[in-house]
Amino acid sequence: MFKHEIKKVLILGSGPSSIGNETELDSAAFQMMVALKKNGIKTLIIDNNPFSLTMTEVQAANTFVKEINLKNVLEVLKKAKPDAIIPTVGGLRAIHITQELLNQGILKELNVKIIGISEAALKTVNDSNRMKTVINQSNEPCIPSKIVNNESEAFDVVRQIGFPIIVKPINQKDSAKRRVCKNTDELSYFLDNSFNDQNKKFIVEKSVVGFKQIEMVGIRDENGTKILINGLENVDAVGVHSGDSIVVSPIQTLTDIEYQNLRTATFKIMENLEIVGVCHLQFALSTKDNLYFITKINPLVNQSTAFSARATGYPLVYTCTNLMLGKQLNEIQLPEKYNHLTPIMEPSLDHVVIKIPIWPFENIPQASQRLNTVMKSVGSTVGVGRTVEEALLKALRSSQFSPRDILPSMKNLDNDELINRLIHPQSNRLLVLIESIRRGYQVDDLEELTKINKFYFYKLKKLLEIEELIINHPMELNTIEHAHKFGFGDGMMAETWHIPIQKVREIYHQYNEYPTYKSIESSAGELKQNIESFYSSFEKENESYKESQKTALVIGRGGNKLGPNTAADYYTAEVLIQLHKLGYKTVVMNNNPNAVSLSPQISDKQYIEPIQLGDILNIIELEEPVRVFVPGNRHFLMKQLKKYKELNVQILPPDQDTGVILPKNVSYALNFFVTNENNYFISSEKLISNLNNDLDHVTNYEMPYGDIDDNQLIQNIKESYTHIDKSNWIGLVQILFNEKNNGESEYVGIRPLRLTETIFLSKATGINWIRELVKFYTKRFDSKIIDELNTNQDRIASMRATFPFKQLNLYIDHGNSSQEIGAKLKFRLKD
Amino acid sequence: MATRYLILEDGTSYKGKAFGSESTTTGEIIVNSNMLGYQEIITNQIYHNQIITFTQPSIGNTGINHKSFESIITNAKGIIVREYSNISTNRLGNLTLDRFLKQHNIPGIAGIDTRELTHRIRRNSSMKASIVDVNDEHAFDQLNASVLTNQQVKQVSTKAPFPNTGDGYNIILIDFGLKYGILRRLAELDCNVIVMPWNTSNKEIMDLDPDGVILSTGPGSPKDLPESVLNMIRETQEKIPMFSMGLGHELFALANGAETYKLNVEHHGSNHPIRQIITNQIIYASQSQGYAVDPKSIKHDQLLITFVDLVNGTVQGIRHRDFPSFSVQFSPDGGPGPEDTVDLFEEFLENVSSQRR
Amino acid sequence: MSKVVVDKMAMQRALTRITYEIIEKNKGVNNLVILGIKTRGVYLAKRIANRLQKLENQEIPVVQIDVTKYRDDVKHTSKDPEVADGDKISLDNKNVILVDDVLFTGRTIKSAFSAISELGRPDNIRLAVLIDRGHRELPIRADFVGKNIPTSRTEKIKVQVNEIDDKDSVEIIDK
Repeated sequence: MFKHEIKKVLILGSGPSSIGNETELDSAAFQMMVALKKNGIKTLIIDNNPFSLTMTEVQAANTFVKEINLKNVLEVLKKAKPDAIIPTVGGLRAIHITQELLNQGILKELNVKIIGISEAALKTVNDSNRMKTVINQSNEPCIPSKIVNNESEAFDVVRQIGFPIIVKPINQKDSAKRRVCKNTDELSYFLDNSFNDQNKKFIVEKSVVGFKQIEMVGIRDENGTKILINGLENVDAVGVHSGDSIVVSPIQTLTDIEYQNLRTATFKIMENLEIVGVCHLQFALSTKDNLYFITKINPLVNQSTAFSARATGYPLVYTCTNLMLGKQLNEIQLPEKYNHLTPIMEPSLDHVVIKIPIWPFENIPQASQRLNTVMKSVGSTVGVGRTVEEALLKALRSSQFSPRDILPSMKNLDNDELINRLIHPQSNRLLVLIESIRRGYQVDDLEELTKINKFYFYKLKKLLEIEELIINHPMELNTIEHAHKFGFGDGMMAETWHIPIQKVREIYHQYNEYPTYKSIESSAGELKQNIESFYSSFEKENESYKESQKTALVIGRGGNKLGPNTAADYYTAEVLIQLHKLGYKTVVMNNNPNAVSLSPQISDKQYIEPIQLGDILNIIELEEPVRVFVPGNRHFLMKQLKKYKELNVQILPPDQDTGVILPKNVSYALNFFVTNENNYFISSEKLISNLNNDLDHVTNYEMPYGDIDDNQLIQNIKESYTHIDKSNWIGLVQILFNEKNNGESEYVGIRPLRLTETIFLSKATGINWIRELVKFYTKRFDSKIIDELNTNQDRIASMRATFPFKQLNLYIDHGNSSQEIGAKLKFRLKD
Repeated sequence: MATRYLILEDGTSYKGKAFGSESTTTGEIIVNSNMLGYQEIITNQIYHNQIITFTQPSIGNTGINHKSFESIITNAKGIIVREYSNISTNRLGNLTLDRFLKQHNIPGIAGIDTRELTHRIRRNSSMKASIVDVNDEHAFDQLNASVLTNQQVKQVSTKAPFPNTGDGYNIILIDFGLKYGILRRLAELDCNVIVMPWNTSNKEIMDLDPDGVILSTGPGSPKDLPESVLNMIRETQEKIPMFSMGLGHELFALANGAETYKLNVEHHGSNHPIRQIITNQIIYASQSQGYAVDPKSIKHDQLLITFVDLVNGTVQGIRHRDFPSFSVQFSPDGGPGPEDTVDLFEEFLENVSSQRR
Repeated sequence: MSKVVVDKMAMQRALTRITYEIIEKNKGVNNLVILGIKTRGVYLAKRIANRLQKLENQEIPVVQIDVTKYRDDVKHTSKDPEVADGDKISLDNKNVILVDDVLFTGRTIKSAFSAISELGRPDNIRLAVLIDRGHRELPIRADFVGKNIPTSRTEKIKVQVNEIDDKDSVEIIDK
């Protein structure tokens, strides 16, 4: 429709990572930018997330480093004059801003179109009344609810919809006032104590707690062609946020009739909202009868759409970008490796993908671990396999950060606590379920207690049978074969049998048994295409072959936890991009469904596998990489990999544990690039701690450090050189200093520059230091880059870490660096 | 679980685990890429003679329930899966897939690399296969020597008429391998349906004073049926609206001068985009086809092409120029598969009502 | 209160069926001209022509006519020429399909005959309507009907087409 009118678009970025927003939106924005470029369209972006790949890859002149709010977006619109604005990859914040811009008539005035979301859809986001109207218009069911003025009216409603119900006051959003009532007494009691002068009206709503949770992701083009991309089954019932539930794709426990009802409902809603692009719907299904309700409509990119793209191999963002430019599904030209029919084939999977959430409670023990309708997980991992068991175990192995590839045991829980956790879900849900089966709980009872479909308990039972087999029949080929088929890793067997992992591998290698890698593609083997995304299985046919004679393997970070994880993922992506530019074929291994580093445009091949030694060695044996890069701090893994002498392994940045730091306060640092021949000073950096100048509490940074005078700087640099020369550090090195009360400075320590600060250094100096590091470690570093250092020190960059405390309903002032979830970037002129 | 073998005409042998019946079986091997609806698939009469490979790796999860039957008698020769679940999680009943297959004497084999098998089947043209206890030379000899029947329609069609009553239009449904989904959709529209055997004549139809006629889906080649069926179609289409599907569609085409051919690779799934010519819209349908109407053979003064498969270019629907009769290659009732095409039943009834005015 | 009696899908289906029926009755599309009565009849006419073209690969002329000046029961408000397309087409010896959204008393159609007579003498005229709501005051009957909807005289039928109303639907509005 407007194919030819749009030349320049503004993407609203997603801001600092938070709970529910990891790197998936950045990944989507990046892929969108690539697709827009193919269509000859210029991308502008506003964001203040320092770890955004899109911000790095969009030309600097077209990026606006600003907090994403109405005022700043308006400023950008006026200054840069884009033809259209894209709010769908910026999360709810971007949607709200766009709603506001639309309501105030600003977009019309500036002649800026909204693309990626229809006006009708935009208005529906977070407006439950409007959503109800849309559902009703589409002849689909939404959760029945009614406003009541007195007790008698409340019981009228109950007679219609039956117990259980949720009652909540109409005039306040305080969720504490909500009450689930299961019978007459509970309702009477609640109402007796609740009707008063402030609360004259209540909403009575049918409670769907315990219902089955299903999600659907569909796309639609301007002509009305609709495809169901993916169905997601939440293992946990309604009552647990879908982001905190184990999620399975494709759907396992619905009949085709039930499934098609939901598919049709999805399409009706998409038609009603005239979606052009993607839409994600959530459903609650009764387990007792045919009832189902639409509980949520999300016409935007989110973690469920990202998961769906990953699970199906369908090029979702690329396709949707073309759709929003007015192309039809059958007109879209994909990159060459895809079959030209892929965009228009409704995905059919021949593998199973399972996602397991990762919670932050280890780093924030104060938070309530009880799972409810508010999301608490900060990351997730996926397992892909040919069976449910295999996918489940791989996801679980990936979600455990124990480097020894073992699963923590819950055997210390007493029975009361175990039952309590079955009824009231907490983190480590899956391990609790496994423990309950181990203790001989009956499947039917477990289904009743947990509202989890018994199918999954049967699957877990099967896994425990295999575990028994491993214990009782050690070091037998038959055991290993069975274990492999169910997703057990070599490391797990090595651990159980108390032998080195290499011994386990020898047992099956001598029978010439190796894993087979299968392509993650959306046609169930029907279309010929070269999609370079794989998962392992132990079967007949292998589809992945050695990529090249000059392959670099980059081992991703896995699921996000708190700490520098989204930064690590960005870092991984950047390493891949730079290696590719240096002429390597790049292979990445990761298991975070939201990872920007898994975006198909970034690497030549992706393996979605547990990041465990056995799985890594399998890939190394197949790909024979000339270099292996491990971004992030992985002590144990490095130690293991270093044993394999023939491997050329490089950890980036080098291991933190070996830094030398004196137990002193710290207030600033100097950053250096150190080669074997030379030390280059790059920048000073102010370190601001939110608690007693303690290094662990430094979560706020400024670059350059403006208050340092030139003499002191020169002296500090000199002093730093001596420390650098004494150490054998190379690459990016940070020297820590403290400014004492008397104004003098003292040396505090030396360490490799951390991930987050390396990225910050790049943003502040305008030089991509990850690129320089990659060049350095591949012996291509050219010191001329130092000459490009911006000596104009008028601009000060600041980076401030953000924390998930508020989202976890906590009030903590002093977050430490292991509790960070994201960061905000800002520039200001030196005053 | 006993070890069994799947052997193919091309000499390949797969080791797997037995489930369902432990009998030995031989049939034509095909791939079905629907993600759900194994019960509908296994009980579809179209799979008479065939061994079904499921691409979706986990089969049997919901068990068997009374709502998902496409026929009570099932004629599939065997099923091949990566993994089967011996449980029933639907809330309607406790029958498991394993028990159901045993009841109906259908063998299954699990633990097969069905993705590899799919690739192999798609590379070759149609192949025979057996599920056997021993994969020796003798088994292969038997497989190669076996001849599959071409009398499938006769075997699966009802022997005597029976009604499915309703208050609406009087619809005659000719049973070439009746799929219950058709009955369900007609019941939703309150039709009075009379199911008749495959060899019903036009006179027998007209004697029942019908408002419309539906030709059902069914197994095998349309050319294995006698000319009398085509005559019935020619005579009936002139008098009352007709709606044909699957095998019925192929027969409708033959009756109107077009030709059919056997597909190199059969297509069973619901992932193909199908373009409706008249609106340019793309829909998805439940497809299970081994034969297709040759577009070059279509006489344009007699037939219009109404639907085309955008993946393999096959004709998916035709309509008579002079009579309110049309047909589709896919199963418009879904079961399993999308409901995008269900309103073709309403379109048919609109034809019926338009004729009655 | 309004109630949707024909939704988007049903409207598309009705137009599709009418298209097929035109091919059936007309034995193809030769010599065919489609006349759409302003306003919504024109859009329906265009859609039918578009469908015919997709099936037959042949362009079908669409002419829009404004009948208000021929109506004996409505005050003349429009000064539009009867053929708004500009290029006057002769209907001599043509097979004409007259298209309107709702068939009610039949007076609109009668006026359309007057308009047609100024454009020539067709071989035959057939009438296609999306909705037949009954209550005829003249001996007029449609050859192609999308849907028969029995109505009371006081009810209003509101036809909406995507081209100008941003949606396809037929609603009954109860006064």
